[in-house]
Amino acid sequence: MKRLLTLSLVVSAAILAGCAAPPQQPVQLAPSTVTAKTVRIGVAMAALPKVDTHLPGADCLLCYAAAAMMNHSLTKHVVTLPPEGLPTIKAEIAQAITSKGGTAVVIPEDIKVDDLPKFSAQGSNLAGKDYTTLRQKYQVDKLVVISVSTLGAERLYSSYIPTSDPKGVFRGVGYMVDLTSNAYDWYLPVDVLKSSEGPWDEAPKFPGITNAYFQALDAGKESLLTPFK
Amino acid sequence: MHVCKLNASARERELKSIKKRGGGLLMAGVFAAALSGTPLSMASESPAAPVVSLVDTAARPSLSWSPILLDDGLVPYRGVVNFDTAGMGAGPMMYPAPGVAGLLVAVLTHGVMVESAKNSQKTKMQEDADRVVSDYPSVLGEFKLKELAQQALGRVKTAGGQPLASAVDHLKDGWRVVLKPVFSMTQDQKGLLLDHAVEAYPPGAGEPTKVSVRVVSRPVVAEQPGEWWRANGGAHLKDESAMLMAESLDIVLAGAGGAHASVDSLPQQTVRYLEGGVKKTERAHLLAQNCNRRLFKTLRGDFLSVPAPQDAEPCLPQSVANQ
Repeated sequence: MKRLLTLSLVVSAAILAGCAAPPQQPVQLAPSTVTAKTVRIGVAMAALPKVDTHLPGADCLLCYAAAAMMNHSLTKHVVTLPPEGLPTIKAEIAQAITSKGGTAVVIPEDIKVDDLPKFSAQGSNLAGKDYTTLRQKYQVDKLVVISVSTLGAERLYSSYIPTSDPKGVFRGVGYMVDLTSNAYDWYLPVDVLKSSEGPWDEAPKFPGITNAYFQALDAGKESLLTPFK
Repeated sequence: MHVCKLNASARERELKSIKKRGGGLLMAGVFAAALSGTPLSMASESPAAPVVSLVDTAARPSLSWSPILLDDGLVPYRGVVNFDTAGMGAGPMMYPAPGVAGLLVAVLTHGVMVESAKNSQKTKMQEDADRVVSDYPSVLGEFKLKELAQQALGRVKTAGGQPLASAVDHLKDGWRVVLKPVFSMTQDQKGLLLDHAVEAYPPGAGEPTKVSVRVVSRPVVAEQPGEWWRANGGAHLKDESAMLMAESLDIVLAGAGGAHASVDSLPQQTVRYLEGGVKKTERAHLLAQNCNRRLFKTLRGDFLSVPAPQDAEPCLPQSVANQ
Protein backbone atom coordinates (compact mmCIF):
# COMPACT_ATOMS: atom_id res chain seq x y z
CA MET A 1 0.00 0.00 0.00
CA LYS A 2 2.77 2.38 0.97
CA ARG A 3 4.67 1.43 -2.17
CA LEU A 4 1.59 2.07 -4.32
CA LEU A 5 1.09 5.50 -2.74
CA THR A 6 4.73 6.46 -3.33
CA LEU A 7 4.55 5.28 -6.93
CA SER A 8 1.38 7.25 -7.65
CA LEU A 9 2.94 10.39 -6.12
CA VAL A 10 6.06 10.03 -8.28
CA VAL A 11 4.01 9.47 -11.45
CA SER A 12 1.77 12.49 -10.67
CA ALA A 13 4.80 14.69 -10.10
CA ALA A 14 6.36 13.55 -13.37
CA ILE A 15 3.14 14.27 -15.29
CA LEU A 16 2.74 17.72 -13.73
CA ALA A 17 6.39 18.61 -14.36
CA GLY A 18 6.05 17.54 -17.96
CA CYS A 19 2.95 19.70 -18.45
CA ALA A 20 4.66 22.87 -17.15
CA ALA A 21 6.48 24.57 -20.00
CA PRO A 22 9.66 26.35 -18.92
CA PRO A 23 9.30 30.13 -19.19
CA GLN A 24 10.96 31.71 -22.23
CA GLN A 25 14.25 33.30 -21.26
CA PRO A 26 15.30 36.68 -22.67
CA VAL A 27 17.13 36.56 -25.99
CA GLN A 28 19.42 39.46 -26.80
CA LEU A 29 19.02 41.11 -30.18
CA ALA A 30 22.16 40.77 -32.29
CA PRO A 31 22.95 44.09 -34.04
CA SER A 32 23.47 42.32 -37.38
CA THR A 33 19.86 41.11 -37.29
CA VAL A 34 18.47 44.59 -37.97
CA THR A 35 21.11 45.89 -40.36
CA ALA A 36 20.76 43.42 -43.24
CA LYS A 37 19.09 45.31 -46.08
CA THR A 38 17.78 42.18 -47.81
CA VAL A 39 15.83 41.04 -44.74
CA ARG A 40 12.39 42.62 -44.42
CA ILE A 41 11.35 43.12 -40.82
CA GLY A 42 7.69 43.69 -40.03
CA VAL A 43 6.84 45.63 -36.85
CA ALA A 44 3.48 44.90 -35.28
CA MET A 45 1.64 45.33 -32.01
CA ALA A 46 -0.99 43.39 -30.16
CA ALA A 47 -4.04 45.40 -29.12
CA LEU A 48 -3.28 47.65 -26.15
CA PRO A 49 -4.98 46.73 -22.90
CA LYS A 50 -7.31 49.14 -21.14
CA VAL A 51 -5.55 51.39 -18.63
CA ASP A 52 -6.95 50.17 -15.33
CA THR A 53 -6.28 49.37 -11.66
CA HIS A 54 -5.08 45.82 -11.04
CA LEU A 55 -5.48 44.07 -7.70
CA PRO A 56 -3.55 40.78 -7.68
CA GLY A 57 -4.02 38.74 -4.51
CA ALA A 58 -7.66 39.77 -3.98
CA ASP A 59 -8.65 36.43 -5.46
CA CYS A 60 -11.89 35.43 -3.78
CA LEU A 61 -15.10 37.00 -5.06
CA LEU A 62 -15.81 38.91 -1.86
CA CYS A 63 -12.14 39.91 -1.56
CA TYR A 64 -12.17 41.39 -5.07
CA ALA A 65 -15.44 43.22 -4.43
CA ALA A 66 -14.07 44.74 -1.23
CA ALA A 67 -10.78 45.72 -2.92
CA ALA A 68 -12.57 47.21 -5.93
CA MET A 69 -14.77 49.27 -3.62
CA MET A 70 -11.78 50.42 -1.56
CA ASN A 71 -10.01 51.62 -4.71
CA HIS A 72 -13.04 52.97 -6.54
CA SER A 73 -11.94 56.62 -6.70
CA LEU A 74 -8.42 55.63 -7.76
CA THR A 75 -9.80 53.41 -10.53
CA LYS A 76 -12.17 56.19 -11.66
CA HIS A 77 -9.11 58.40 -12.24
CA VAL A 78 -6.71 55.76 -13.61
CA VAL A 79 -9.04 54.73 -16.45
CA THR A 80 -8.86 58.29 -17.80
CA LEU A 81 -5.08 58.17 -18.25
CA PRO A 82 -3.86 57.85 -21.86
CA PRO A 83 -1.37 55.20 -23.10
CA GLU A 84 0.71 58.09 -24.36
CA GLY A 85 3.40 57.23 -26.86
CA LEU A 86 2.50 53.53 -27.09
CA PRO A 87 0.49 53.59 -30.33
CA THR A 88 3.51 55.11 -32.09
CA ILE A 89 6.10 52.68 -30.73
CA LYS A 90 6.01 50.43 -33.80
CA ALA A 91 6.71 53.41 -36.06
CA GLU A 92 9.61 54.38 -33.79
CA ILE A 93 11.05 50.86 -33.91
CA ALA A 94 10.70 50.78 -37.69
CA GLN A 95 12.43 54.16 -37.92
CA ALA A 96 15.27 52.91 -35.69
CA ILE A 97 15.75 49.80 -37.86
CA THR A 98 15.76 51.88 -41.04
CA SER A 99 18.29 54.32 -39.60
CA LYS A 100 20.64 51.38 -38.95
CA GLY A 101 20.44 50.34 -42.57
CA GLY A 102 17.76 47.64 -42.25
CA THR A 103 14.42 47.35 -44.03
CA ALA A 104 11.37 47.73 -41.83
CA VAL A 105 7.66 47.62 -42.56
CA VAL A 106 4.99 48.80 -40.10
CA ILE A 107 2.07 46.36 -39.92
CA PRO A 108 -0.95 48.63 -39.49
CA GLU A 109 -3.42 46.21 -37.91
CA ASP A 110 -3.14 44.68 -34.43
CA ILE A 111 -1.74 41.17 -34.25
CA LYS A 112 -4.06 38.64 -32.58
CA VAL A 113 -1.51 36.23 -31.18
CA ASP A 114 -4.13 34.03 -29.48
CA ASP A 115 -5.72 33.30 -32.86
CA LEU A 116 -2.50 31.85 -34.28
CA PRO A 117 -2.20 28.04 -34.31
CA LYS A 118 0.15 26.29 -31.91
CA PHE A 119 3.60 25.48 -33.25
CA SER A 120 4.12 21.75 -33.33
CA ALA A 121 7.86 21.64 -32.70
CA GLN A 122 9.31 22.37 -29.28
CA GLY A 123 12.80 23.51 -28.47
CA SER A 124 15.00 26.23 -27.12
CA ASN A 125 13.88 29.73 -28.15
CA LEU A 126 11.10 28.47 -30.38
CA ALA A 127 7.85 30.42 -30.31
CA GLY A 128 4.86 28.56 -28.91
CA LYS A 129 2.55 29.92 -31.62
CA ASP A 130 3.11 29.34 -35.34
CA TYR A 131 4.09 32.68 -36.89
CA THR A 132 5.32 31.19 -40.16
CA THR A 133 1.94 31.74 -41.85
CA LEU A 134 2.44 35.49 -41.44
CA ARG A 135 5.44 35.46 -43.79
CA GLN A 136 3.19 35.12 -46.82
CA LYS A 137 0.52 37.41 -45.42
CA TYR A 138 2.77 40.40 -44.67
CA GLN A 139 5.61 39.64 -47.15
CA VAL A 140 8.25 39.95 -44.42
CA ASP A 141 11.06 37.64 -43.28
CA LYS A 142 11.00 38.54 -39.58
CA LEU A 143 8.32 39.97 -37.36
CA VAL A 144 8.75 42.21 -34.32
CA VAL A 145 5.76 42.01 -31.99
CA ILE A 146 5.16 44.40 -29.11
CA SER A 147 2.58 43.06 -26.68
CA VAL A 148 1.58 45.09 -23.60
CA SER A 149 -0.44 43.08 -21.10
CA THR A 150 -0.85 45.40 -18.10
CA LEU A 151 -1.09 49.16 -17.95
CA GLY A 152 -2.23 51.50 -15.20
CA ALA A 153 -1.89 51.06 -11.44
CA GLU A 154 -1.28 47.89 -9.45
CA ARG A 155 -1.92 47.29 -5.78
CA LEU A 156 -1.04 43.96 -4.17
CA TYR A 157 -3.51 42.25 -1.88
CA SER A 158 -3.55 39.37 0.54
CA SER A 159 -7.25 38.45 0.34
CA TYR A 160 -8.99 41.50 1.88
CA ILE A 161 -5.89 43.41 2.99
CA PRO A 162 -3.71 45.62 0.74
CA THR A 163 -0.07 44.64 1.14
CA SER A 164 1.35 47.51 -0.87
CA ASP A 165 0.56 51.06 -1.91
CA PRO A 166 -0.70 51.43 -5.50
CA LYS A 167 2.11 51.78 -8.04
CA GLY A 168 2.30 52.69 -11.71
CA VAL A 169 2.62 49.51 -13.78
CA PHE A 170 3.77 48.64 -17.29
CA ARG A 171 4.04 44.96 -18.11
CA GLY A 172 4.54 43.37 -21.51
CA VAL A 173 6.92 41.64 -23.85
CA GLY A 174 8.74 42.49 -27.05
CA TYR A 175 10.03 39.82 -29.40
CA MET A 176 11.25 39.21 -32.93
CA VAL A 177 10.36 35.93 -34.63
CA ASP A 178 12.13 34.51 -37.67
CA LEU A 179 9.20 33.57 -39.92
CA THR A 180 11.14 30.68 -41.49
CA SER A 181 12.30 28.84 -38.38
CA ASN A 182 9.72 30.30 -35.93
CA ALA A 183 12.63 30.96 -33.55
CA TYR A 184 13.05 34.07 -31.43
CA ASP A 185 15.79 36.43 -32.59
CA TRP A 186 14.90 38.71 -29.69
CA TYR A 187 12.80 38.21 -26.60
CA LEU A 188 12.46 40.78 -23.84
CA PRO A 189 9.91 40.62 -21.02
CA VAL A 190 9.34 44.04 -19.44
CA ASP A 191 7.97 44.48 -15.94
CA VAL A 192 8.06 48.02 -14.53
CA LEU A 193 6.57 49.16 -11.24
CA LYS A 194 6.98 52.74 -10.05
CA SER A 195 5.97 53.97 -6.61
CA SER A 196 4.44 57.34 -5.87
CA GLU A 197 6.89 59.93 -4.55
CA GLY A 198 5.26 61.29 -1.48
CA PRO A 199 1.73 60.36 -0.37
CA TRP A 200 -0.40 58.46 -2.90
CA ASP A 201 -3.90 58.84 -1.49
CA GLU A 202 -4.77 62.28 -2.90
CA ALA A 203 -8.21 62.02 -4.48
CA PRO A 204 -9.60 62.90 -6.95
CA LYS A 205 -6.58 63.46 -9.23
CA PHE A 206 -4.02 61.25 -7.41
CA PRO A 207 -1.00 63.23 -8.70
CA GLY A 208 1.53 60.83 -7.13
CA ILE A 209 0.04 57.74 -8.79
CA THR A 210 -0.52 59.60 -12.07
CA ASN A 211 3.14 60.59 -12.10
CA ALA A 212 4.17 57.01 -11.25
CA TYR A 213 2.02 55.72 -14.13
CA PHE A 214 3.74 58.00 -16.65
CA GLN A 215 7.13 57.05 -15.21
CA ALA A 216 6.33 53.34 -15.66
CA LEU A 217 4.99 53.99 -19.16
CA ASP A 218 8.13 55.89 -20.15
CA ALA A 219 10.47 53.29 -18.65
CA GLY A 220 8.60 50.40 -20.27
CA LYS A 221 8.57 52.05 -23.67
CA GLU A 222 12.25 52.92 -23.37
CA SER A 223 13.11 49.29 -22.50
CA LEU A 224 11.42 48.10 -25.69
CA LEU A 225 13.03 50.77 -27.90
CA THR A 226 16.58 50.60 -26.56
CA PRO A 227 17.64 47.32 -28.29
CA PHE A 228 16.91 48.96 -31.66
CA LYS A 229 18.75 52.26 -31.00
CA MET B 1 30.26 81.86 -13.23
CA HIS B 2 28.86 81.75 -16.75
CA VAL B 3 26.03 83.99 -17.86
CA CYS B 4 23.89 83.51 -20.91
CA LYS B 5 23.66 86.75 -22.87
CA LEU B 6 22.94 86.47 -26.57
CA ASN B 7 23.64 88.97 -29.33
CA ALA B 8 20.94 89.83 -31.90
CA SER B 9 21.77 87.17 -34.50
CA ALA B 10 22.14 84.51 -31.84
CA ARG B 11 18.75 85.53 -30.43
CA GLU B 12 17.20 84.95 -33.86
CA ARG B 13 18.79 81.51 -34.10
CA GLU B 14 17.57 80.64 -30.63
CA LEU B 15 14.01 81.75 -31.47
CA LYS B 16 13.96 79.54 -34.56
CA SER B 17 15.38 76.68 -32.57
CA ILE B 18 12.71 76.98 -29.89
CA LYS B 19 9.87 77.09 -32.43
CA LYS B 20 11.38 74.10 -34.21
CA ARG B 21 11.71 72.12 -30.96
CA GLY B 22 8.12 72.91 -30.16
CA GLY B 23 9.26 73.95 -26.71
CA GLY B 24 6.29 76.22 -26.16
CA LEU B 25 5.17 79.49 -27.63
CA LEU B 26 7.53 82.42 -27.17
CA MET B 27 5.91 85.60 -25.87
CA ALA B 28 7.82 88.44 -27.46
CA GLY B 29 6.80 90.79 -24.72
CA VAL B 30 8.18 88.49 -22.03
CA PHE B 31 11.40 88.07 -23.98
CA ALA B 32 11.84 91.82 -24.33
CA ALA B 33 11.04 92.28 -20.66
CA ALA B 34 13.59 89.65 -19.68
CA LEU B 35 16.34 91.39 -21.60
CA SER B 36 15.39 94.94 -20.67
CA GLY B 37 15.19 94.24 -16.96
CA THR B 38 11.45 94.80 -16.57
CA PRO B 39 10.00 92.51 -13.90
CA LEU B 40 7.90 89.61 -15.20
CA SER B 41 4.30 89.73 -14.01
CA MET B 42 2.34 86.88 -15.49
CA ALA B 43 0.12 85.35 -12.85
CA SER B 44 -2.62 87.96 -13.09
CA GLU B 45 -3.02 87.41 -16.87
CA SER B 46 -4.23 84.27 -18.62
CA PRO B 47 -1.06 83.34 -20.52
CA ALA B 48 -1.31 80.81 -23.29
CA ALA B 49 2.39 79.96 -23.35
CA PRO B 50 5.23 79.05 -21.00
CA VAL B 51 7.69 81.77 -20.07
CA VAL B 52 10.92 81.27 -21.97
CA SER B 53 13.87 83.19 -20.65
CA LEU B 54 16.96 83.12 -22.80
CA VAL B 55 19.23 84.68 -20.22
CA ASP B 56 20.47 83.14 -17.02
CA THR B 57 20.77 86.46 -15.25
CA ALA B 58 17.44 87.93 -16.32
CA ALA B 59 16.29 90.70 -14.03
CA ARG B 60 14.18 89.26 -11.22
CA PRO B 61 11.25 91.02 -9.60
CA SER B 62 12.29 93.31 -6.77
CA LEU B 63 10.39 92.56 -3.57
CA SER B 64 10.74 93.58 0.02
CA TRP B 65 11.32 90.23 1.69
CA SER B 66 12.87 88.79 4.77
CA PRO B 67 14.31 85.30 5.16
CA ILE B 68 13.35 83.68 8.48
CA LEU B 69 15.19 80.81 10.17
CA LEU B 70 13.21 79.52 13.15
CA ASP B 71 16.00 77.31 14.48
CA ASP B 72 19.72 76.96 13.96
CA GLY B 73 20.23 73.22 14.04
CA LEU B 74 22.33 71.14 11.70
CA VAL B 75 21.40 71.13 8.04
CA PRO B 76 19.40 67.93 7.46
CA TYR B 77 20.80 65.52 4.86
CA ARG B 78 19.45 62.10 3.98
CA GLY B 79 19.77 59.52 1.21
CA VAL B 80 17.52 59.35 -1.83
CA VAL B 81 15.34 56.27 -1.37
CA ASN B 82 13.54 54.22 -4.00
CA PHE B 83 10.28 52.64 -2.82
CA ASP B 84 9.53 50.81 -6.09
CA THR B 85 10.05 47.42 -4.38
CA ALA B 86 8.24 48.34 -1.17
CA GLY B 87 5.30 46.24 -0.06
CA MET B 88 4.55 42.68 1.02
CA GLY B 89 3.71 39.93 -1.46
CA ALA B 90 0.31 39.14 -2.90
CA GLY B 91 -1.58 35.94 -2.24
CA PRO B 92 -4.56 34.33 -0.51
CA MET B 93 -4.93 34.29 3.25
CA MET B 94 -6.73 31.53 5.13
CA TYR B 95 -8.63 33.07 8.02
CA PRO B 96 -9.19 30.59 10.88
CA ALA B 97 -12.57 32.04 11.83
CA PRO B 98 -15.50 30.06 13.26
CA GLY B 99 -18.15 32.63 12.27
CA VAL B 100 -18.76 36.08 10.77
CA ALA B 101 -17.62 37.91 13.91
CA GLY B 102 -14.50 35.77 14.08
CA LEU B 103 -13.79 36.46 10.40
CA LEU B 104 -14.09 40.22 10.97
CA VAL B 105 -11.69 40.10 13.90
CA ALA B 106 -9.26 37.98 11.86
CA VAL B 107 -9.38 40.38 8.90
CA LEU B 108 -8.88 43.43 11.14
CA THR B 109 -5.96 41.78 12.90
CA HIS B 110 -4.44 40.86 9.55
CA GLY B 111 -4.84 44.47 8.42
CA VAL B 112 -3.12 45.90 11.49
CA MET B 113 -0.22 43.45 11.18
CA VAL B 114 0.28 44.15 7.46
CA GLU B 115 0.14 47.93 7.96
CA SER B 116 2.71 47.72 10.74
CA ALA B 117 4.98 45.53 8.59
CA LYS B 118 4.69 47.93 5.64
CA ASN B 119 5.59 50.95 7.78
CA SER B 120 8.55 49.12 9.32
CA GLN B 121 9.75 48.13 5.88
CA LYS B 122 9.62 51.71 4.61
CA THR B 123 11.42 53.01 7.69
CA LYS B 124 14.17 50.43 7.19
CA MET B 125 14.47 51.30 3.48
CA GLN B 126 14.92 54.98 4.37
CA GLU B 127 17.48 54.12 7.06
CA ASP B 128 19.43 51.99 4.59
CA ALA B 129 19.33 54.80 2.02
CA ASP B 130 20.54 57.31 4.65
CA ARG B 131 23.80 55.36 4.99
CA VAL B 132 25.08 57.22 1.91
CA VAL B 133 25.43 60.40 3.98
CA SER B 134 27.11 58.60 6.86
CA ASP B 135 30.40 59.07 4.92
CA TYR B 136 30.31 62.78 5.70
CA PRO B 137 30.31 63.02 9.50
CA SER B 138 32.99 65.71 9.77
CA VAL B 139 31.21 67.96 7.27
CA LEU B 140 27.59 67.38 8.18
CA GLY B 141 28.30 67.28 11.90
CA GLU B 142 29.20 70.97 11.85
CA PHE B 143 27.19 72.50 9.01
CA LYS B 144 24.48 74.61 10.57
CA LEU B 145 21.37 76.10 9.02
CA LYS B 146 22.46 79.69 9.73
CA GLU B 147 25.75 79.18 7.86
CA LEU B 148 23.86 77.61 4.94
CA ALA B 149 21.30 80.42 4.90
CA GLN B 150 23.97 83.14 4.91
CA GLN B 151 25.80 81.48 2.01
CA ALA B 152 22.55 81.04 0.09
CA LEU B 153 21.37 84.61 0.67
CA GLY B 154 24.62 85.85 -0.85
CA ARG B 155 23.62 84.09 -4.08
CA VAL B 156 19.93 84.96 -4.31
CA LYS B 157 19.27 87.03 -7.43
CA THR B 158 15.99 88.58 -6.27
CA ALA B 159 16.58 92.11 -5.03
CA GLY B 160 15.05 93.61 -1.90
CA GLY B 161 16.12 90.97 0.63
CA GLN B 162 16.56 91.89 4.31
CA PRO B 163 19.05 90.30 6.70
CA LEU B 164 18.26 86.86 8.09
CA ALA B 165 15.73 87.00 10.95
CA SER B 166 14.59 84.46 13.52
CA ALA B 167 10.92 85.36 14.01
CA VAL B 168 7.95 85.48 11.66
CA ASP B 169 6.62 88.79 12.97
CA HIS B 170 9.75 90.55 11.76
CA LEU B 171 9.19 92.99 8.84
CA LYS B 172 5.39 92.86 8.43
CA ASP B 173 5.62 95.27 5.46
CA GLY B 174 7.27 92.74 3.20
CA TRP B 175 7.17 89.03 2.41
CA ARG B 176 8.51 86.78 5.16
CA VAL B 177 9.91 83.50 3.92
CA VAL B 178 10.43 80.74 6.51
CA LEU B 179 13.26 78.47 5.40
CA LYS B 180 12.97 74.69 5.90
CA PRO B 181 15.48 72.94 3.64
CA VAL B 182 16.07 69.19 3.53
CA PHE B 183 18.83 67.82 1.31
CA SER B 184 19.09 64.34 -0.18
CA MET B 185 22.10 62.72 -1.77
CA THR B 186 21.69 60.14 -4.52
CA GLN B 187 22.97 56.63 -3.80
CA ASP B 188 25.78 57.00 -6.37
CA GLN B 189 26.78 60.26 -4.58
CA LYS B 190 26.74 62.08 -7.92
CA GLY B 191 23.73 64.23 -7.23
CA LEU B 192 22.24 66.44 -4.56
CA LEU B 193 18.57 67.36 -4.23
CA LEU B 194 16.98 70.06 -2.18
CA ASP B 195 13.39 69.70 -1.02
CA HIS B 196 12.45 73.10 0.32
CA ALA B 197 9.05 73.36 2.01
CA VAL B 198 8.84 77.13 2.31
CA GLU B 199 6.19 79.08 4.21
CA ALA B 200 5.71 82.46 2.58
CA TYR B 201 3.89 85.05 4.71
CA PRO B 202 2.51 87.93 2.60
CA PRO B 203 2.92 91.59 3.64
CA GLY B 204 0.59 92.45 6.51
CA ALA B 205 -1.10 89.80 8.62
CA GLY B 206 -2.18 87.24 6.01
CA GLU B 207 -2.01 83.45 6.30
CA PRO B 208 1.14 81.84 4.90
CA THR B 209 1.27 80.06 1.58
CA LYS B 210 3.10 76.74 1.65
CA VAL B 211 5.29 76.28 -1.40
CA SER B 212 7.30 73.14 -2.11
CA VAL B 213 10.32 73.41 -4.36
CA ARG B 214 12.64 70.63 -5.43
CA VAL B 215 15.96 71.71 -6.96
CA VAL B 216 18.16 69.04 -8.55
CA SER B 217 21.89 69.62 -8.88
CA ARG B 218 23.89 68.98 -12.01
CA PRO B 219 25.54 65.53 -11.76
CA VAL B 220 29.09 65.45 -10.39
CA VAL B 221 31.52 64.30 -13.07
CA ALA B 222 34.43 63.48 -10.71
CA GLU B 223 35.57 59.85 -10.69
CA GLN B 224 35.29 59.73 -6.91
CA PRO B 225 32.24 61.89 -6.19
CA GLY B 226 32.44 61.25 -2.45
CA GLU B 227 36.00 62.57 -2.34
CA TRP B 228 34.97 65.60 -4.38
CA TRP B 229 32.16 66.50 -1.98
CA ARG B 230 34.41 66.06 1.08
CA ALA B 231 37.39 68.02 -0.30
CA ASN B 232 38.48 71.19 1.55
CA GLY B 233 36.31 70.54 4.56
CA GLY B 234 33.22 69.87 2.47
CA ALA B 235 33.47 73.16 0.55
CA HIS B 236 31.88 71.70 -2.59
CA LEU B 237 29.01 70.17 -0.63
CA LYS B 238 28.32 73.39 1.24
CA ASP B 239 28.69 75.47 -1.91
CA GLU B 240 26.29 73.32 -3.92
CA SER B 241 23.80 73.21 -1.05
CA ALA B 242 23.84 77.02 -0.87
CA MET B 243 23.39 77.29 -4.65
CA LEU B 244 20.38 74.96 -4.58
CA MET B 245 18.85 76.91 -1.70
CA ALA B 246 19.38 80.25 -3.46
CA GLU B 247 17.73 78.83 -6.58
CA SER B 248 14.73 77.66 -4.54
CA LEU B 249 14.33 81.11 -2.97
CA ASP B 250 14.43 82.83 -6.35
CA ILE B 251 11.69 80.47 -7.56
CA VAL B 252 9.49 81.17 -4.52
CA LEU B 253 10.05 84.93 -4.71
CA ALA B 254 9.36 84.97 -8.44
CA GLY B 255 6.01 83.36 -7.65
CA ALA B 256 5.35 85.93 -4.93
CA GLY B 257 6.08 88.61 -7.50
CA GLY B 258 3.61 87.05 -9.95
CA ALA B 259 6.20 85.75 -12.45
CA HIS B 260 5.00 82.17 -12.88
CA ALA B 261 2.43 81.35 -15.56
CA SER B 262 -0.81 79.56 -14.72
CA VAL B 263 -0.56 75.89 -15.68
CA ASP B 264 -4.20 75.69 -16.84
CA SER B 265 -3.22 76.50 -20.41
CA LEU B 266 0.12 74.69 -20.39
CA PRO B 267 0.38 71.14 -21.74
CA GLN B 268 1.60 68.27 -19.55
CA GLN B 269 4.79 66.64 -20.71
CA THR B 270 7.07 63.86 -19.54
CA VAL B 271 10.27 65.55 -18.40
CA ARG B 272 13.52 63.57 -18.51
CA TYR B 273 16.52 64.61 -16.46
CA LEU B 274 19.48 63.18 -14.54
CA GLU B 275 19.34 62.75 -10.77
CA GLY B 276 22.98 61.95 -10.11
CA GLY B 277 23.74 59.27 -12.70
CA VAL B 278 20.19 57.95 -12.81
CA LYS B 279 17.69 58.90 -15.51
CA LYS B 280 14.48 60.20 -13.98
CA THR B 281 11.18 61.24 -15.44
CA GLU B 282 8.44 63.49 -14.13
CA ARG B 283 5.06 64.45 -15.54
CA ALA B 284 4.92 68.24 -15.31
CA HIS B 285 4.20 71.57 -16.97
CA LEU B 286 7.14 73.58 -18.31
CA LEU B 287 7.17 77.07 -16.79
CA ALA B 288 10.52 78.48 -17.86
CA GLN B 289 13.88 77.45 -19.19
CA ASN B 290 17.27 78.99 -19.85
CA CYS B 291 20.75 77.81 -20.75
CA ASN B 292 21.29 76.55 -17.18
CA ARG B 293 18.04 75.22 -15.80
CA ARG B 294 14.44 74.29 -16.55
CA LEU B 295 11.57 75.06 -14.19
CA PHE B 296 8.45 72.91 -14.05
CA LYS B 297 5.27 72.68 -12.04
CA THR B 298 4.49 69.08 -11.10
CA LEU B 299 1.06 67.45 -11.07
CA ARG B 300 0.99 68.04 -7.31
CA GLY B 301 1.53 71.78 -7.86
CA ASP B 302 5.10 71.76 -6.54
CA PHE B 303 8.00 73.43 -8.34
CA LEU B 304 10.76 71.32 -9.84
CA SER B 305 13.99 72.88 -11.08
CA VAL B 306 16.36 70.61 -13.00
CA PRO B 307 19.56 71.25 -14.94
CA ALA B 308 19.17 71.99 -18.65
CA PRO B 309 19.87 68.92 -20.83
CA GLN B 310 23.49 68.18 -21.59
CA ASP B 311 22.91 68.86 -25.30
CA ALA B 312 21.42 72.31 -24.59
CA GLU B 313 23.10 75.45 -25.91
CA PRO B 314 25.80 76.29 -23.36
CA CYS B 315 25.83 79.59 -21.53
CA LEU B 316 28.41 82.08 -22.78
CA PRO B 317 31.36 82.79 -20.48
CA GLN B 318 31.17 86.00 -18.43
CA SER B 319 34.11 87.51 -20.30
CA VAL B 320 32.34 87.10 -23.65
CA ALA B 321 28.99 88.29 -22.29
CA ASN B 322 30.62 91.49 -21.04
CA GLN B 323 32.13 92.36 -24.45
